[in-house]
Amino acid sequence: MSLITVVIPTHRGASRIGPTLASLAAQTLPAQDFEVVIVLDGHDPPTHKAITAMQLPFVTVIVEREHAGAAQARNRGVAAAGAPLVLFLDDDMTATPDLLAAHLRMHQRYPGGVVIGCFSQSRSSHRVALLADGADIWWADHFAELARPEHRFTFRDFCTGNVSLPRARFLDCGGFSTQFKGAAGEDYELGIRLLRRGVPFRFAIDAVSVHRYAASLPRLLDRARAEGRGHVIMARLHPEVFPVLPLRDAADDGPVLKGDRVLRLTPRRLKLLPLLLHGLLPLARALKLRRLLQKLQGSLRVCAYWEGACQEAGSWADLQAFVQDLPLVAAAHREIEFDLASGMAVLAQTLGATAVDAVRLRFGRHAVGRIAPLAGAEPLRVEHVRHALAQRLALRFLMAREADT
Amino acid sequence: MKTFIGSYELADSAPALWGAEGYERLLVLVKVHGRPLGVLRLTQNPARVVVERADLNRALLSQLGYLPSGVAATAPPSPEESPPLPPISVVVCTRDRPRSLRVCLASLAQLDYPDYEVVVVDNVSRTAETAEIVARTGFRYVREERPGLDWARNCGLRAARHDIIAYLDDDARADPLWLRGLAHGFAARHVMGVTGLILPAELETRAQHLFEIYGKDGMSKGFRARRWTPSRLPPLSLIQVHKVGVGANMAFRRQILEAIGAFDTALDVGTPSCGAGDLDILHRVLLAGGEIRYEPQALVWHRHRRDMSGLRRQLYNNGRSYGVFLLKRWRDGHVSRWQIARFVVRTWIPWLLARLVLAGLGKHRLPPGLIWAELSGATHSWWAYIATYRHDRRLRQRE
Repeated sequence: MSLITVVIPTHRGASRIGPTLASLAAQTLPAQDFEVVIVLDGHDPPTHKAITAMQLPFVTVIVEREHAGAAQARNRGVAAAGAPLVLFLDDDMTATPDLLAAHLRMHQRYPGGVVIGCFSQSRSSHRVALLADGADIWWADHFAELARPEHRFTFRDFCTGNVSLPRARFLDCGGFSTQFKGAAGEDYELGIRLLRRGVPFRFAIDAVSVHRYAASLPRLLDRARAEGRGHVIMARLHPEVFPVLPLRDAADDGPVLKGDRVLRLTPRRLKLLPLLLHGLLPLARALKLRRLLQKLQGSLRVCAYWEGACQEAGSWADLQAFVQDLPLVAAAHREIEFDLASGMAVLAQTLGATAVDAVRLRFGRHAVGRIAPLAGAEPLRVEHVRHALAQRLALRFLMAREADT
Repeated sequence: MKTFIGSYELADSAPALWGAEGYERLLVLVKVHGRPLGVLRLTQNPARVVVERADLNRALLSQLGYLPSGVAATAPPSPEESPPLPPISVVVCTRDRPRSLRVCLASLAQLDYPDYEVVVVDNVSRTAETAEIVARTGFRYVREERPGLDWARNCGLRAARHDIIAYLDDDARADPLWLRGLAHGFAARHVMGVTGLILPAELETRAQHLFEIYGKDGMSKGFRARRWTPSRLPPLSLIQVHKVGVGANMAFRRQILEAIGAFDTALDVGTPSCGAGDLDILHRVLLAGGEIRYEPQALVWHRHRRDMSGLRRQLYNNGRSYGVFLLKRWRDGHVSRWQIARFVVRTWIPWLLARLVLAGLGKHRLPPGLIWAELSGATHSWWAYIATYRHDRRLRQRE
């Protein structure tokens, strides 16, 4: 019996799936210890043929009759999985040889949680490419942040690119929501539910895959549009995460473009501005004005995001009405007051026993500071408090201790 | 721009005001034994990690002139001196604001008061969510099919069982001692109406911040109890009733509402008048000889509109509905028309114009667009007056 099932959804992925499967065939984990379930999202003979041609014994193929989106496909894949752990991988991800073994090691050390792997972007050439460079930097920063011991995991750390969890936990939560058709963010949404159920997140820095993704502006804008739609759906399902979504701006002055000056995006500007920016793109490309190009692309992304959000809500007015009632500030479900004089061991015990998302710290009668709640984040661990005491609250902590003795 | 809103009790010994980290401005309500004493406005470095009691005490002395130790030493109100606590009906009128309503009703479930009931009037909501939320709280739910806040208020009056009816907005949240404050105002039998203190529940956006600037302190009428005794009132006070109170937090005795024919259904939001239902009822109560008191102990927290377009609409409505209110006074002739005309020409319009000019010169903290909205609302009030009564006649004929 296998230990882990790799679930890969694919939609017209005949050209992409080959290298992915080849990398899985070259794992350090023995082939009898894992299986791969590929879900063809919609009737797709060329991809099916490409897979069977590789003659890999550990691969199962499921065919969905109609294109129903990646969420549905992943749910089907997990339903068919035979192993106690599932790993979600994309069809354009190359696994490094140690990927599966690294995930397994982490699950053996900390059973019952989510293990988040990391990936880098593969580059076909070393020429400067603005979009790809931007994405590289963003992901590198993201994973560096996850690797910090005091990182407080939030729902936004749960991305389906390279993540594994016990199959039972996935099924308990009801799997991916299928409401996100044509929208992005079903992974974040599952992340919210997993965290709420108290499933811990871990980051495995040695579980590495390589993303063979060719960034292009149209794809980026499609993605931004899908994110806009997805965030509206997410705010509908889980209003408590609204404070940390970019959508929050809609409750204030409305969406803005931030540059040297702030430009408010009224509905009319939102229609006209992309046309103007698209018009300027060729010029910026021809003259190799890199900073301008970067700004244009960034602005187009913001416009696309809000376009998607308006589409999902109905109209700009509907969107504005919708966000009026949502919370703007993260609320604490459970906030405790703790006297640091009783020692960190007691705090570790308290935080281990109950899920706490904000702490008021004092030393004797002297206030030290507060660790604020974070929307859609895991409960506080003692590492978070220790880090805050060592950094942000260090001076207050010392002063309070001095004053108390 | 973002302002933290909190409160601190002088009589207890919490070492700090928690949760203000990351904010540049603070608005802190100071309470003594649960009674509001005043608000402190502080600015701080947002990187500051904790606001200590000593900081608050210093501000208390410099801004309000109280020595904290002196105020805290006052004895808590003894049960004997507290006024009688008559049963009160709380009426909340709402339309399609399920999440705000949930917050509002949760605050009403936690009131510290021996005998009260809550009636939620659903004024033609489009979804069934309102009914579901009310069902979950166990409060009474009634539905008013004619659109208009004053229709809903009258419906609430009919459904209410007790003799004091307190009206609360669905975007407001009541302080636990709210009804005790109202009861304090109603202690004398001849008092017919009580209005209360309204503080902002949230100041997170530019629009909310500007709204606080707009009315000097938003909807707050200060921390000193006041009374309006009709026999001693100059005629001008009868038309400047916006100084008496706001509809978000007002209460009346049933006998006075029934005597003057309750609320004027042609007025307030949901009708072409876009407001003025509260001004009208306060005016008519005073006109009928009922005393009205303003009681700062009756505290509610109101959430202002968050978006700029919403604020612009609100100010437009203010101008428009105040005009409708004045036209109604002009028509019914209880206040001399000379007084009304003089008020409009010498006070109201010059006040609007002066602000517009100041804003145009950049000398006013409100952007000119907002003041223009109020002025244009005022110029539309002729049409609104005609339209709203025509609309009301049509609604009444339909029955």
